Amino acid sequence: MEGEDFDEGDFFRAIERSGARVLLIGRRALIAIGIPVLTADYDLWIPADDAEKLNGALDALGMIPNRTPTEARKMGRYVIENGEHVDVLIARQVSTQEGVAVLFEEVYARAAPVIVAGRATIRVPCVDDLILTKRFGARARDLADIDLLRAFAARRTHHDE
Amino acid sequence: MNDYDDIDADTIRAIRALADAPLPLEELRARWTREIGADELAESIALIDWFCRRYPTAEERLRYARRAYRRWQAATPKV
Repeated sequence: MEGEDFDEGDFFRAIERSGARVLLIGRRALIAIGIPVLTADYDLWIPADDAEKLNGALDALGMIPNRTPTEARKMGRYVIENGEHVDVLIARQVSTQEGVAVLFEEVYARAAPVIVAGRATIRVPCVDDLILTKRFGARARDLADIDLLRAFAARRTHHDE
Repeated sequence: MNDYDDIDADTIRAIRALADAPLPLEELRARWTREIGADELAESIALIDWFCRRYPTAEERLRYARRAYRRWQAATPKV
């Protein structure tokens, strides 16, 4: 499954067919909407109840979770991997570093389906919500990404004028 | 021989830990509320425009990103 063997289309199709409510967040989401950044990982956000569905779907691709769904729900995150590294945030809500609560259901409702690899679709949060998710970690690179997201939003306004 | 060959593993780990640590709240707030300068904004928009023109679909952009990451990984120390 590693490197050249990984089929991104199979990966996204498996997620789409899983029936889990999944948001693509992190730098892979930035790339999907049109911001050129570098990343090794896939970052997903799912609600607490959907881990079994997601894990089951990716198991068919040989991708293994590092925690049981019960453990993952307690920790709020887990990793699925097999060569590729998928960070999964599993929570009804997550707070930014300055304490703003961000609810999965609200972000999911505002997210748009984006056609990714192999004609699969995955929901990507709107730009404002991607900025909020970048404030969960608030590392130096997240701030750089926020600046790019702000530029992306300004670009839309600029092109609309 | 590349630029990283004379950096020891502990230093690389320390740099990575620093990069992964959350920044102080004051610094975060200052950064989030700052006005992005006109030149910086124009440069970022030009970069995004190029990327979206060169790779018009999400699928193409994601494929490009995987290639770019593999190139970057090949030139980066494994620690």
